[in-house]
Amino acid sequence: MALLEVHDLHTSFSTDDGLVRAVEGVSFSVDHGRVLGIVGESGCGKSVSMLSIMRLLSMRQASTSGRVMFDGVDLLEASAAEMQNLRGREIAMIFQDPMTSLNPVYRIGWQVAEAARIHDATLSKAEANKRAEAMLTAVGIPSPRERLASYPHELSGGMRQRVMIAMALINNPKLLIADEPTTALDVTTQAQILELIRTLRTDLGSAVVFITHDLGVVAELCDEVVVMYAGKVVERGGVRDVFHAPQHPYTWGLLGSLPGRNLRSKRLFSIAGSPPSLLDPPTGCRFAMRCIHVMDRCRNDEPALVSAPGDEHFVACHLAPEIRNDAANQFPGGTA
Amino acid sequence: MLRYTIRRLLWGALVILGVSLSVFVLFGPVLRARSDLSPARLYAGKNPSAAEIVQVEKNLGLDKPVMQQYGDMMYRLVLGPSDAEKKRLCPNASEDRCRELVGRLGRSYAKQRSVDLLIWDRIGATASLTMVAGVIWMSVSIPVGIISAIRPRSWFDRTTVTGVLVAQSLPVYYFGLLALYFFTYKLHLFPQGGYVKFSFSNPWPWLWHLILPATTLSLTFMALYVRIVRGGMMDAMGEDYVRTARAKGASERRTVFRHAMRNALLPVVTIFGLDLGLLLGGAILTEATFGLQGLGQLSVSAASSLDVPLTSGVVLFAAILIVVANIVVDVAYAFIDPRIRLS
Amino acid sequence: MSSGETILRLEKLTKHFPVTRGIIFQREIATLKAVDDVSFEIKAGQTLGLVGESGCGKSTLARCIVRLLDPTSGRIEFEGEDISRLSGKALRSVRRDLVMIFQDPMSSLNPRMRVSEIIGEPLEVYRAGTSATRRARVMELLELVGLNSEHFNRFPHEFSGGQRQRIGIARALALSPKLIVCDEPVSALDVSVQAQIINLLEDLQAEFGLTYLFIAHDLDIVRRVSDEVHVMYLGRVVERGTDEDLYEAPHHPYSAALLSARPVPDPDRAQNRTHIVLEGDVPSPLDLPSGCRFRTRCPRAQPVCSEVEPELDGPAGIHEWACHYPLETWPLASPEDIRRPGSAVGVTEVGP
Repeated sequence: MALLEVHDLHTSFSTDDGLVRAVEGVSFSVDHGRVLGIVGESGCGKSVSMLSIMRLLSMRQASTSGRVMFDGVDLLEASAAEMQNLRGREIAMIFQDPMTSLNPVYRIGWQVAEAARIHDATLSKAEANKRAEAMLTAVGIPSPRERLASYPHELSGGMRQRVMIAMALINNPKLLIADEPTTALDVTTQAQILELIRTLRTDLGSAVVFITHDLGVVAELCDEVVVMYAGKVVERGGVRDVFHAPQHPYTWGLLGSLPGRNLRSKRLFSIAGSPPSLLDPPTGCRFAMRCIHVMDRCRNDEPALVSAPGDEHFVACHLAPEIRNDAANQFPGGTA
Repeated sequence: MLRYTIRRLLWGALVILGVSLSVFVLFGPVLRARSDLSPARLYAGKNPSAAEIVQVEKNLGLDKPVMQQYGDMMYRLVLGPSDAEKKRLCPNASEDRCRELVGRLGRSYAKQRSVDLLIWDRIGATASLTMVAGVIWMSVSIPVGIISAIRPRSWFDRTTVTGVLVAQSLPVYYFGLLALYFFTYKLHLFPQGGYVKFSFSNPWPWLWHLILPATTLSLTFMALYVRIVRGGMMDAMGEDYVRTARAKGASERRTVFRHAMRNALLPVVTIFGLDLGLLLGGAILTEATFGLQGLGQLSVSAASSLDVPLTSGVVLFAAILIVVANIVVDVAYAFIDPRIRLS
Repeated sequence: MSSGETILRLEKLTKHFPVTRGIIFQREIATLKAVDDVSFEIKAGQTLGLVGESGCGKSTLARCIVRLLDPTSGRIEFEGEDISRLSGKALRSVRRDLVMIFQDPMSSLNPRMRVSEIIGEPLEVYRAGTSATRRARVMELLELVGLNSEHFNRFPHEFSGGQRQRIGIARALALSPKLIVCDEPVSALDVSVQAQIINLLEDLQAEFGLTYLFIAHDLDIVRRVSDEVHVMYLGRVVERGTDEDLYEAPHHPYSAALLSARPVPDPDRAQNRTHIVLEGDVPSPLDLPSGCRFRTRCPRAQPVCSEVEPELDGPAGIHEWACHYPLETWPLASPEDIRRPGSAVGVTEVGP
């Protein structure tokens, strides 16, 4: 059994304008030691799914249903105390903005050590500090002992993200959820953080769920990938299958609009329009109104995930497999 | 840090200089030019002769050039009255008597006493009122604001929000008079008013006299502070670092009290310091309602009896208090918020 | 101005910000050298791309060129005239031809103005035409950037990020400028929307013969739009060349590191290529390293690099680099290849 199995996750928010269905029927799984990338544009529900899994959304506004099995425990059914015990110990999470994710009024050392002390009441202050220092060393922070006494604002963005990673990994979690951890960073700093995550994953054997809007980062780091659009999974599979034989028109659009992959083409491929409002999503396929291959059926029937060429490769699209495969063959390195 | 403190102090001195200049101009040349409040009319008795007027103006130093008058005032404020000034203002009195008549803030002719001593007589009542009120409103509004913020839209929160609205719209004297009527005249729980000096051997009479006025005074502030704490706390609870704390596995209690509260209360410290500084200058309505002889009452009586030196003295004193409170708050803030220290 | 002539020429443009300290009297304790000695020229109808990481001075440079900031020294020649010291009326007339579009399409549009007012404002400021012709021009601009007349009376918050950037572009185009400085115009947008905006900018360039100075941190986007690319590091241009020169044969180790750090959207190439991962952070622009600014992070640094600041130079053509020990081969076979014996600075080594 996989470490994390998410079945049919739904999350909605009640707002003054009505019910926003942010996540609708998302399913995926991650194994020990694997990196799963979740990719999609802003508002597609990728972050919300992760916050739902961690139960970090305010219960007053958000309601979540589905089944999230982590190491034999259904996270959506677990008690608040059980969740508290799992968070930070078995499942850790790092966030997009390292500037705001650390508490500005506490020292780095205190914040990192706190993550250890919360889960081990017997740990003395000195021991916790020692572990914090070792963690700062492990994530490549120079002169870690002095840094323990620094406040977050005294560090650069890249260093702060390293501190966040140190804090997340101090209890050797089985699963690390990384929510756009490099988006706010410069490209050379991003390379450093990606490198760090690659090494730590090999060293610790943790599973990683990596959320990003950057397909390049997915290609660099991930084993499997889930493509989300407007609250739904539209395609899912091994990273090579999805990049070399993409099956969903939205994935084609995403890959086609990357300037780095399409140097020779006259114009960049672009997806017209913008994603639908999740207050009142269209019936049928949610991508239909932007899809160049749209058929009548797409506007009425919602496509289910069906098997596509490759191992564990699924797509939610009504197009005939032959058409999809023909289109997929036009992508570089196509194998389908 | 030292550099920062020095800079704040120098700024404070500069502001006090500016305030003293405007007090001098407003209560000196401007007041005299725009009204018939000539000093001679006020101090020289009825129907003074021309010679008497000249003598009074000379005694007050009003025959000197304007800039020199201001210089005299600043000299007096910083170093105390000079010998020449003492000779002018209390020509026939003994050294001790003269000290009672002329102070750093000048001499009140209506009361025949130095402004310093008049303020000193009243500061006890005002300071006690302010401190007790401060303790009351802080100890109510912080917990209420926090609970309200972590349970938004609960009955507790709704009641609080309504209470805040009511308390903010009621004038102080209205609540004060209601309280006097019920607690003093009907229930005889509290004294009718007045102020008893604090004593360590028995602080009870002091406190007993202050409870009603301090509660009355604190009510408006309480409402305001509940709003500030609630707002600050709600903002803090939505911050990314609070989410980080939860993601670490921190309990809700720890998240609220360790992570959110400290950040949420930072701005409260600032406003609290400033409000204390403001109130120490006198709480006119509360003092009047409860017959407390404080600075507020002093300034009202000074203004109504056209006692210009006393009025300007009280104004200057209150202004200095506010400037000092500002400096204290700035320096204290730098101590509690690590982000300030560098910049 | 016909295509091919130089439209904008920078000569040793420098922008320093004084950092002051003092209790009452402020004395200058340091200088932040945001832009230091930058020279280049853009030919009419072409696009010059400027890439670099945050804090490299690219946005300050852009602001100096459109004279939102006053340069400390150097010349900015626009159509042959030095505009670096212009003010008042003369500057106003230059600003008709020299406009800027900004990164954040939300904060650069006034939320209380209608789209028609936002786009029409430059026309009104410069008293172009009658109110009827201005209205017609706004309609025309809306069509041009892919919006329509139905958007005329709406407010910015009613639009998506991509549409807001279109509004910003329409405003920039209102007075038919010759040069547009684009400061990170797509970095706040989603990928599929980025492509829409890039296509739009390319179409407009082809239609009106516009000249762009295109500033971005994304190497792929810059390559896509630019005829010539300049790489900036800590206020200086460290390498420049045509897109082909720079991307296929980078000579400056910083350009090489940037190229290597950029994620490649192809799992086979991405996971089997040589990664050069620079160590450490960019030094503070307040306290620049002696000699070459990159030497503290450079795996090829030698003693001379801390003594002599290298100047831009190259064998021929426009491909030039400012480095004492430029790279000779690209791509590198192994990360070890970027290192020079004797260099104290390391690289994180990652093989395939």
